Amino acid sequence: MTWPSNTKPRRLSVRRIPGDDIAMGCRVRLARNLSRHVFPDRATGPQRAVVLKKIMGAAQAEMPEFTLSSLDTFSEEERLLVFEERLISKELMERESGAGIMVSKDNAVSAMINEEDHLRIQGFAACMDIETAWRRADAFDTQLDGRLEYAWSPRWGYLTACPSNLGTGMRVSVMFHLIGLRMTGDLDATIRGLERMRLLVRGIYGEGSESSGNMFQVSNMDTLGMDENAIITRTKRICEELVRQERNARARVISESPLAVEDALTRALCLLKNALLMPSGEAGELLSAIRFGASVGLITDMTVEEVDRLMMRIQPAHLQNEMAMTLSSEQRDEFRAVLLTAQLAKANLRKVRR
Amino acid sequence: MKCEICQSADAEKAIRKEVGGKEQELYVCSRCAREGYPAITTKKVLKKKTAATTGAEVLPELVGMMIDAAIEIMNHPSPSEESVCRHCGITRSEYRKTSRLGCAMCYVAFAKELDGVVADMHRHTQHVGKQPRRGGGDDVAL
Ligand SMILES: [Zn+2]
Ligand SMILES: [Zn+2]
Repeated sequence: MTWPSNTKPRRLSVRRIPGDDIAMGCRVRLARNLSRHVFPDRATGPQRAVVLKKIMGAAQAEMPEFTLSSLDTFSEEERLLVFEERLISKELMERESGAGIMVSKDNAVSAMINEEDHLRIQGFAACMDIETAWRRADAFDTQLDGRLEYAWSPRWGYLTACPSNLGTGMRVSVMFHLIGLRMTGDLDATIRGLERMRLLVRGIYGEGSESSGNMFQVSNMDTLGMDENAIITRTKRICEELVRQERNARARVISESPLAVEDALTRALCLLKNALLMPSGEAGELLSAIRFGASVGLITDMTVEEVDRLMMRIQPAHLQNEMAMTLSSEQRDEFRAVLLTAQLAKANLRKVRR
Repeated sequence: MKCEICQSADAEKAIRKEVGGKEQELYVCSRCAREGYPAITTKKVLKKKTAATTGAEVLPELVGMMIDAAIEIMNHPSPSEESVCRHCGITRSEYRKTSRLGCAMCYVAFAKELDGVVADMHRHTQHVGKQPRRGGGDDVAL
């Protein structure tokens, strides 16, 4: 028996683990409310409609190139589709009336109307480029500010429906793929450490969502008493440290547990290539492994970007949209399996062990 | 806010329940309300309150309980003199249930209790950073 002598690890230096695949993207969200208007939760349908009209009027005048939509005109499936794109939260998706979205042409800036607050502006950027995301959200906010009157007090800053957003109303979020820390068993301790440093750790769909596929959204907890730049600097510093830890974990797990890594990637490939019914939760977990393999070069002929696009496409509303029909749960699992089989046919595993 | 009994589902209704020999209002999920919360949990509820008042790791869901703790320190007002925001009509207990205020003027109506809550939550009490061109002013003088 040759085992374990032939499991000599492939040495992989941390330098060869790309960090950009770990921090998957970021957003800066600004919470704003109009003065003299009841907050959305407390407001009646007609009161929310007035706020929607005011904000959309201001946006139309300032940013004619933005797409403005009232969710009242959306079907349930269309709402789910924009939710899956992470343009709107679950709360906005479920708002009974008066919800709206505004999206820039390049999708880099958007806003939700009548969510928890009247207005929630979001600027997006790649990887951990929080400064760019902030510049985008800040510019939109300043433009709207010229036409709207925000609820504000000199002491507590922007007044928000929940006091946890007071002050800057700013939430900086970075999305992470933390599969290395999961595999080394350090994930829970890392999350507790982040929380001790006053960062919130949540699933990718934001507040109240579970993590799936080892994806997490990390954001600042405090919004009052630090200005925007200080919040950005602090959050970014901790997020950079998190990337460093995840890179180390990935390098370590490949060096120290090559058999386990090869097994995980083999299983993921086998199931994705051959399963006949693939539920979305399981697909997310398996693609998470493939994404990791593609990033560190153990899965070939498949890029991280391709995996990310697949993760978007296999969500229920996206599948239905692609098939242009309403699907039962089993039909979705079937189409998802067919799609994944076709897309992963070209992917191959490179031996982790030499 | 989370159910004060199971701490996992979202709280949906208020029940009155004796906890540690004292009748107390709890916000619970529909399941815990229905099942009559058999194995209560005094410890759980009390533990969570303590955690909230120390303000070590304050999550938004805990706001309601922090308000409550603040009120307890200032002596519980009787229901008849419960504070209400004159502008949106929200009562303190409604606010406590959802952890959300009804309008910007609530910050004036509940200023006293919010003082402590905000300080615990953010560890700061003074805003710094961006200011709107002409916002606030006339409706909120805090
Ligand atoms: Zn419960
Ligand atoms: Zn009010």
